[in-house]
Amino acid sequence: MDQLLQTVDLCKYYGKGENEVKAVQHANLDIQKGEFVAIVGKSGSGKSTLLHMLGGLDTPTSGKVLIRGKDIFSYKDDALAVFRRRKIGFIFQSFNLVSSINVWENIVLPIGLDGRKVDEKFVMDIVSTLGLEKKLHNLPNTLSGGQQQRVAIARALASKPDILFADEPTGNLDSRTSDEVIALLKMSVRKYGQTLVMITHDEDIAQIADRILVIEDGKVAELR
Amino acid sequence: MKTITKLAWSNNRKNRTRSVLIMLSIFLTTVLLSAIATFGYGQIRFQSVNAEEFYGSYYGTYVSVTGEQIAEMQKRSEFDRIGRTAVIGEIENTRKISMIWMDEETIRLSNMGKQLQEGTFPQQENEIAGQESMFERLGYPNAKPGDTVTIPFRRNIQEKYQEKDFTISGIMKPTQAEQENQSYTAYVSKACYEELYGPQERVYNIYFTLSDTVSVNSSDLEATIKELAQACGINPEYAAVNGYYSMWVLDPGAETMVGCAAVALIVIFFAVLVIYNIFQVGLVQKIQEYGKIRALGATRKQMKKLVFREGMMLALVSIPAGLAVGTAMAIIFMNTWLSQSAVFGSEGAVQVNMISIPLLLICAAAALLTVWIALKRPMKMVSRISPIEAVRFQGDSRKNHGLRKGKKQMSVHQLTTANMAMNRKRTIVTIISMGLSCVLFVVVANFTGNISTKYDARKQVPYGQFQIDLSYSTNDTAYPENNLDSILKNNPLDETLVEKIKELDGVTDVKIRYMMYTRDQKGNLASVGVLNREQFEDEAYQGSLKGEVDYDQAAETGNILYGWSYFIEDSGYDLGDTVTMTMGDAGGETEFQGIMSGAFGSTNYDWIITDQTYEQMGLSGKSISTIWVDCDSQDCGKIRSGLEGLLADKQHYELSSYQGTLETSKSSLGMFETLAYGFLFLVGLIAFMNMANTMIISIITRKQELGVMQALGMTNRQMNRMLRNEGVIFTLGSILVSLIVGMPAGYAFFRYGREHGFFGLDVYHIPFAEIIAMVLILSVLQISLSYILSRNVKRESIVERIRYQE
Repeated sequence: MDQLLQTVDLCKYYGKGENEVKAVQHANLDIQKGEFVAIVGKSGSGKSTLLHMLGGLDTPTSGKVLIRGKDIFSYKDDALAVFRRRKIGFIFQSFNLVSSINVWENIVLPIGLDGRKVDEKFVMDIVSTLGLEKKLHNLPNTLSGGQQQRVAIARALASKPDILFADEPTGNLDSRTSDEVIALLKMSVRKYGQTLVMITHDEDIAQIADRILVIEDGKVAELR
Repeated sequence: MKTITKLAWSNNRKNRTRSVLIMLSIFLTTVLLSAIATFGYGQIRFQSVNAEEFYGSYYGTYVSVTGEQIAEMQKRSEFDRIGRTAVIGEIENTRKISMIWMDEETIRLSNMGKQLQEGTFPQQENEIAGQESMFERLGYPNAKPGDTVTIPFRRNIQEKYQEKDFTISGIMKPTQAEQENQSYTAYVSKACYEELYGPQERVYNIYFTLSDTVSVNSSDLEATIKELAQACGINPEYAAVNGYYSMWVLDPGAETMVGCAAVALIVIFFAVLVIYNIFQVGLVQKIQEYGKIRALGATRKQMKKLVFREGMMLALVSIPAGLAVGTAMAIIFMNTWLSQSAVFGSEGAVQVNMISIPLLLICAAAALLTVWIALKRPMKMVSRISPIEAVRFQGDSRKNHGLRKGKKQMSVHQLTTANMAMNRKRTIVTIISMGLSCVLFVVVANFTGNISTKYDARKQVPYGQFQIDLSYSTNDTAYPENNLDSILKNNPLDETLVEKIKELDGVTDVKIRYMMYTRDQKGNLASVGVLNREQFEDEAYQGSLKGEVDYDQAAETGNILYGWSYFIEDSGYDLGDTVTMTMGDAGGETEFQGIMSGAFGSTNYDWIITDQTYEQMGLSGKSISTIWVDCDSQDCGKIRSGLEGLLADKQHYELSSYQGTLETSKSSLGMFETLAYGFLFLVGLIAFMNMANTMIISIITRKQELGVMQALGMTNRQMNRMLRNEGVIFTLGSILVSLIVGMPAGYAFFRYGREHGFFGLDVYHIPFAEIIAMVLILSVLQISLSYILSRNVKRESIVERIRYQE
């Protein structure tokens, strides 16, 4: 297997002196291409901070994040943004769709920001995989939570990134919808040969992952 | 009660940006309102105070009044102050030097005290006062109080000159009028008058004021004083009003007040629009907050009070600041204006107190009212929020059922337009309020940009570099020799003078216009301009015509035209009436009859006939009214002194130059522009607050979205571009509105002004420079706003922004 993502002594500390919070301490991870990794932990355990650093949204206090051997924090701000839209897909807990544009436009937004032409056939394939064909012209806030999260998954997949990061993708959904979404997510990851790193506090959901990492008080350990 | 006030206070603190913008808007509004009010009040005050200063505080004069008639006047309660003055005679000289006595009341009423340079007015029988240059003419250079002079004078033309020794008691300041007319006045004492005139010979001229119980205004003053004259046995024809005094003091400045009120209304209109929009846009964002308060048990009334207090708290801080700044601005402007003004600056006008506390209170009330009107709708809206609705509230209700056609491909541009379309109402209100203030600017630019100072100066001095006008009166009952008919009999502007001017070295051309005098059937004297084709058509070109104004037609039919279309009623005739009067000039008098076919806008004459009509009268000698002298501009200085030399011994003329008129015109245009553009800049700034608010709100509400977009790979450059494009849409929209509405309106305004002969309006051209300046200012404001905003957004990390909950 080829190594896709690696972290070297990744640390994130907030505050100073007595108020110092060690959100992530000396995390050393290896994620292979095509893996589905779940990171579980209680609320406040540092799992979101870890994910944000893996995705280049937050900068570490020390340590490195290497994607395909390249230290992503060696990029400047705008170059990092370009890197994100080309190599990384995000799925957030609160969907985070752009409210003024319709479903299709949301899905192709990262491609558009990159100035690339949309591969309509490929995107339509994702759309039908996720069952969104009839909603393409809808504005996000006319959709249910489950539908919105499916749009977010489609958006993450559409730009053919190297790796997907999902931050509690079912946190805002009821259990039935949540199961549906997870099933769809896993299915499409397989279908498009994607690598997925997902944060969850739900043990059941974590069970469907290939690997489970546990984070507690900022320390990461392999569970399975 | 206290809870609501506290809540309002903390709401304002929490929405700091909104509060600052609203405070700035209210502040600017108050600045404008108080500046307008103070300026208008200062104008009116200044004019009335200085009218007394310059023109005296008497209501009118009666001439040839006897002692008995004065006693009659003193018996009547209508008269308040009565001052006497009398003509003693004239002093022998090439110039006209009259000798008069004034009592102390007259000196006060006519403000003569101010004219005293040193010493006192004559008290003793042998005392005299006058200008230094007058004594110089009489052979006593460097005269000063205490000097003894021998004066040859006579009581009237029938008598022989007698000599008398006087001691100079005072020296008078030189006055412009006396210098121009080359005539002087010597002042002597009452004792001197009574010595020379026996009780039966004494006749006085009376200066008087009316008591407050007589209510008069500038239009009925003349009738009133004539009636009073009759009642005292004085010939009403010998009554004259102090025209400037009645105009400035008795007339409460109605035009100024209407003007100021109109401008203030425009300001209030804009301010309401802007403050309302800032509140409204803010409310939509905070509707859940208000819903919670409502859910916690606030009544509708309390909700209204909450919004009202939020607004009023901001007003209470900004209004006093605005009043102070606005008043200061008006005072500074007025002082600059006065110091630059040719009329008031040089003669040491009296400074007036421009601050009126009641007026400032009215301004404060108007500003509060503005805020209140702006708050009405937001108050209503907040009071109608039901707690459940509010919690579910998702922003504006959508029309197209939450659908958007969209594009297959996405881009930053796409994002910008989508955001604008999403908040269509907000975008449109913002563009309109910005646009309207730009419309005002464009309209004014169409006006000021087309003012030609050269054209305005050419209205005064139509040809050449110098203009010599005959200066005359038509109703001087005290000194009938100053009246037009007398002057024309011995016209200082004669053909000999014209020939001498032509011989001056450097003179390239001399043109002449002729005139006549006329008496209507009541015996009233008026002036008649005799115009050739060129002069006729030049006057007609200046607009504001009434009836038929056509040279050929007037020449052929022998029609007569009135000189002032606005005052055509004063002629006593209607268009088409037959006018019968006696006309005359140096060549004699003749009866004239002709149809009044039309009227010019404003000429120097009461009536106008053509040169052909004049020829048909068959009079023997023409009277010159105006001489124009042309020369190369570098010769102006030489020619001026040449002309002054030729005119040195003449009276009753006025010499003006094109360059001087042009300077005056330029300075008044400059002041007008400062005033108009200063006002527009502040109005524009208020409207800009609106744009700033809309953009800020649109960024705050999208903070999270912007974070998400950046997480998805939007670069900082792309975000800056997006925010800048949003601003550009506002700017372009405003400019578009301003041009589409403003240009036709401005052109219409120009046409109106052109037809009504407004200040210097001649040929229309599009005011590119002004419009480009407006676009530049708008762009600079907007670019700096976008820059500040995107910097502000970047201050927080992406993670913080993604987590941000509205």
